Amino acid sequence: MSDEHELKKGTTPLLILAVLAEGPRHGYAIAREVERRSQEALRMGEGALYPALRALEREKLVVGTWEVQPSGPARRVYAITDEGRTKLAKQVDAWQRLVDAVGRVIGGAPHGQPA
Amino acid sequence: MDNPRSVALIEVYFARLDTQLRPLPEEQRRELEQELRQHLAALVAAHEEIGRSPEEATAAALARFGDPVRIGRRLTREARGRRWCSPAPDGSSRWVRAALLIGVYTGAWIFGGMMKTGGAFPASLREAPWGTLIGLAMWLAEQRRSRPRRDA
Repeated sequence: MSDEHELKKGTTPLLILAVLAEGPRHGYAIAREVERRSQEALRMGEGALYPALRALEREKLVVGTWEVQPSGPARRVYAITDEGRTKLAKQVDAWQRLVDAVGRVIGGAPHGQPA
Repeated sequence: MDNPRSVALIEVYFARLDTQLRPLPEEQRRELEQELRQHLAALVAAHEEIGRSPEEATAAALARFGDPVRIGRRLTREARGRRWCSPAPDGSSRWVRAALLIGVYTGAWIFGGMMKTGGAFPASLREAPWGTLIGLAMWLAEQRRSRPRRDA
């Protein structure tokens, strides 16, 4: 899969943090949740997901732990940290401001306001 | 996923991926591979559920993962972070590293100069800038090589 079909640059970590803010998940569940919530409009390629998770772990925004399953092998589960939540709040804010600004330029109404 | 052709596809994929993960410590590599194999198995199962043959399902799942060499490279880069620095989230280790490199090379050239001039300290200082330059160049080269890139 080429990059054109993957998420736009820089949005992968934001989406991962947003999904994890609702509770810990393993990689497969993160990818499926992004697709479900975006009604399949966004596709989180596995080739982008795992490198992004490693970078988030390195930056201590998420922590990954191996969780023993009642049946089957252990799975690596990721949880957002307090630092991750702070970062997410900032990124959501920045994203919203960007969307509003672009909206004003291309002629739409600002987010949340009637045209 | 017991279909022999599916197994072969997966093994070829992971063999190629593994060539890129070699710089990582053994344990980290094993864990990454285990995690990716589990993810892949879940993806294949999802494709089989919608009626695809095991081989088609495996091919479709691997296509979603993308080029193994590329994902392997990105994983290694993100897992390692800055190569030569001790982990310091605030980035301060970068400057410690710069000071260390420049200091060591400058010192080495001063020492070399003293050897040449039979221990005359001021004369040996003439050699010092070469050491400083080499230390600086090595640090800059490191920064270029280990700069994290985000390409998706």
